[in-house]
Amino acid sequence: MGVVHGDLMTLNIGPQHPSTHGVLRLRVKTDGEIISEVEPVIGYLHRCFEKHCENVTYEQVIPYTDRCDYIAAMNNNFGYAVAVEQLMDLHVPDRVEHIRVIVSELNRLASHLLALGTFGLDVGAFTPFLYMFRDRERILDLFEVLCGARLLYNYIWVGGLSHDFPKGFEEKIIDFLDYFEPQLDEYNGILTYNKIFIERTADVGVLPADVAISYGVTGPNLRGSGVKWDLRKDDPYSIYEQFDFNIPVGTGTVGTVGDCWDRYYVRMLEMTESIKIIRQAVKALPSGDVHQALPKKIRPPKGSVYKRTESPRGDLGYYIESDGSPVPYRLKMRSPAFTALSVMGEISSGWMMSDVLAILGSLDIVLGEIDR
Amino acid sequence: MSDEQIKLIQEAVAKALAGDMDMINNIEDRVTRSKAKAALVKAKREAKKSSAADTEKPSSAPPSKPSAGDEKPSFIDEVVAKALAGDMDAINNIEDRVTRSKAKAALVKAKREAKKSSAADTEKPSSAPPSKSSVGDEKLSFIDEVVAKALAGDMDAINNIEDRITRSKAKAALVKAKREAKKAAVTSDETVQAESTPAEKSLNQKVAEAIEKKFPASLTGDDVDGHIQLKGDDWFDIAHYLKDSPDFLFDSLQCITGFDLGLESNLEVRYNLHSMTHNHAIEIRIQTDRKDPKIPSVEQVWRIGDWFERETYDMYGIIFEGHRNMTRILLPDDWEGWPLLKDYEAQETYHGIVVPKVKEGWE
Repeated sequence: MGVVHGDLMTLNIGPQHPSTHGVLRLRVKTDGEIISEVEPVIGYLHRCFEKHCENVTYEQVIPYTDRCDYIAAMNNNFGYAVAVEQLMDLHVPDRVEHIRVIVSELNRLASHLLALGTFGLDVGAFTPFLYMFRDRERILDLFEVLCGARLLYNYIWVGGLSHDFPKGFEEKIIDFLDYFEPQLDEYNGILTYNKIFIERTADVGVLPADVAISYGVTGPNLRGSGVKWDLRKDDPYSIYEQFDFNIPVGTGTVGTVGDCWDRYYVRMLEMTESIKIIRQAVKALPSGDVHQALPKKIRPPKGSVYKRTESPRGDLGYYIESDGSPVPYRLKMRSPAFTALSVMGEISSGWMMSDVLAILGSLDIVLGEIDR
Repeated sequence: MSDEQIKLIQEAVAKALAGDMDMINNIEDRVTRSKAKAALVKAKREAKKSSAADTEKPSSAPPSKPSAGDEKPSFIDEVVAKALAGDMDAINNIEDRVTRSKAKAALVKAKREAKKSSAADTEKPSSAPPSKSSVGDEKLSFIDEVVAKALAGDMDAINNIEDRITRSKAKAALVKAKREAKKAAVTSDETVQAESTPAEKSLNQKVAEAIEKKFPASLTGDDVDGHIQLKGDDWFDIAHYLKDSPDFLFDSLQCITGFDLGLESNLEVRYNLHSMTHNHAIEIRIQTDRKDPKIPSVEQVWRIGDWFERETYDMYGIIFEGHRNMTRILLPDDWEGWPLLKDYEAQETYHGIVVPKVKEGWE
């Protein structure tokens, strides 16, 4: 076969690079402009999360979970609270469950907006990024009203919440949704069906379903490959069973199932579903005291628990081992972005240099969660 | 690409299409592997085009929770009968808390009645509660009766007692009974939690039996509640078996957690496996010696094992034998020590930079 191989050139992308979404380094071996190997080098943001957790009490872990996935801190709080509550066999009031679902779905919207906006930016579309950040800012404003923080909320506690909704907050949420829902069409017009965007992302970086499962890829990335798997439906936690929503999957509308565009579009469709969930939860919001079930001291009985919840990036798992003291004996966080990044080397060889950044953007990684 | 490579790729793709992904995954050269995978994707796509097959995940209904319905009373009768015959597990294994306590209340009642009838035979029971007060036996049994009724939910029986003293005594007895019931419920809760849910238990047993049959003497201990404890020796083959066996199909490795069991004990690695097809999960635990920690790698069974094992190596120094790139992942390559060990002490300096140990100024 008459294939000519040039010398491989090693190229470093990052650790400081706008397209790596944080301090990530990609060690890329290229053959001309064709990528032959990509090796992600991680750990630049390692902050010893798990070691910290072995030295602080269960309550004090929550601010650390905020700082793992700082784009979707509510969902991280939520996952941790659910895991510890399962360990303690603690049941929280209905109002708390509803509020938790509302804020974590709002946070999912914010997270997807950031993911899609920066993905557009990675492939050269600057305007949609500004549109999406404008709307994300409205969600962050809502959170600021709720708990005083824009990104690191420390809002969902084990057994309850730090605050109840302020007066009139439900109306604020509905106002926002009424404003936001038509915006999705605008995004579709400006980015989703943009010809240049489709050219850059359709058929690029195809992730077959079996490879995705073997690499532990979850969340929108797995659903983009056509696998209908969502913990909110398949292993329901909290009160997600009560809500009516769909699980969008990639169908290869403009290219192949599992390409970058599918991963993008699944997130876009998921935002509609999140809006549906929030509307139902606000409508059904019961009254009550959110502090009612807060334990005075968290001392789970001896034992271990592995609990997964659906964060915007996929299966967020906490493995917690308790020895009966107020401090976790061992706490392991299985972060969805960690597994998503590990598949990077597998799916990007054979593509062009510029496609690597499109693939990376489509995986929607957060380095804080990968390095922990 | 050499002819040899092309041949290898064709062979691997053919095998993968027949369902055996191992051959592709085991290709050592990364470039060849990805080329083979690309060829596989292409082949699959063409196959799909010709027959419009649906890619949807084989839907698997989550195991439906046992619903407590109309058959509750008869169910309670049944377990009470069992408990009277000496089998307390029947009651303790009831999942629903309310049903369980009702069953216990019914059991207490049944026992008391049995006692009463035997007491009637012997006229004066030696086992009668020592009555400090002047309350007669008649009153005592009356109080017992109303307390049992109240526990079953009928508070009127107590509230309707006319005599004030008897009423308050009955109420005190009720509080006591409730407290004891709670205590019993808490202890039984703990045992239930340790044993995990019945559905999972049976899965664990099934998996353990299958492993024992296929790989004799690889289990340590008969206790398979909550998790399965294995010896490390055959782990690679067992992992392959668990992934491919049609009964289990654990195609997804959810999490690998390193574990330090204490300064005097072993290290442990815990694997959380999950099956997308059957929607069930198990936990496998493997212990290894603290001085020389080694466990076979499953990186070639589940590809995510690659990074998870590197992370565990990074934090605990456990060497995964057969891993193709056993290097640190989060910490720098020249870092010393294994940070998540319970006896870890950070090094003094790193490249001439002092590693801060005392938290000053912010705590």
